[in-house]
Amino acid sequence: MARHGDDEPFVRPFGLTGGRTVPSRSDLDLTTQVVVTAGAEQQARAGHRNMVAISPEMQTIMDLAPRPIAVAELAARMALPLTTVHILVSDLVDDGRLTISSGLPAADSHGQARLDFLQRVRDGLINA
Amino acid sequence: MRDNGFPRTAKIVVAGGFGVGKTTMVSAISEIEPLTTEAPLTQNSATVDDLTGLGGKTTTTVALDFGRLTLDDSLTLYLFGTPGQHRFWNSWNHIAIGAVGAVVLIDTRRPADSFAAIDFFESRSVPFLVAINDFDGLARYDTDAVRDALDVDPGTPVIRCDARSKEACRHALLTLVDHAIQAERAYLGG
Repeated sequence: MARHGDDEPFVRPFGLTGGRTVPSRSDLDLTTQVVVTAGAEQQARAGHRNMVAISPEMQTIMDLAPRPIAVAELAARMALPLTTVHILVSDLVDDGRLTISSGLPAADSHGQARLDFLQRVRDGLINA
Repeated sequence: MRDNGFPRTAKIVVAGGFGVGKTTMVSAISEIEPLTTEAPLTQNSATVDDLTGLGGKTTTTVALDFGRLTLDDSLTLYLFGTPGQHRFWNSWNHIAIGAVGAVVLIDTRRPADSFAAIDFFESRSVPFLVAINDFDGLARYDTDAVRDALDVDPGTPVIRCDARSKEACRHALLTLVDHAIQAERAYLGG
């Protein structure tokens, strides 16, 4: 929550990303879910993995992702622009600290898989 | 149905003009406090309707309403409320790709605000329905009149929906999913 005053972030968003405006990864979507990689921190502490130090914002992402969470939800919960979170998440994935959801949602392509997927969404909506 | 333990995600877009009730609808359905984030939008010059995306671009941000609904233990629905102006089209692709479909909310006092959203989803074959936000209970026009005015495909559902009501919104989403299922069956030749 880097909010300060009304709409003015305490640190400008590009300050959180080392001035970068483009994420290192292009395989992250708004609804791509990420989760903390099991054992990554322990390996880093034991010296088995060489990881860079992470910023407080990156740590917040790690704290929010013990279970899979969408990139858009991270951005919303942290009150940071999507692109900023996109860049930070990309770095954490590159570093092995976060794992991204494999595969695109079934809604992406036509066919029986999409039909089955839509039926599941329908069942879920009825029971939700 | 799990992919390496990750829930699959489904995405529904709620589109419409400014102040039409997008935030209200996302809030009514979401199981978490409605959240707003800022999405980067590559914006064509508003004065040049250049759909190639090559004309004088500037980058801006727009508020994106965000909601979540757990559908079952391995499927999560995300709702995105987004403004529907032409100049945001480039970035809409990003939001609409892979979506189950879209709800286009309209206010019958300002139906033209929804034209751009309807054009967008029609041109990209994204299943959508038109929901007349009936929040004041005043039926200014019946749904047939609205359908005529919007000139949507006869197969596109046009419904009334009080965006404040969870039940009404859930009904709208169900109608949309049914429409998407029909469209997929038609695509598959069934």
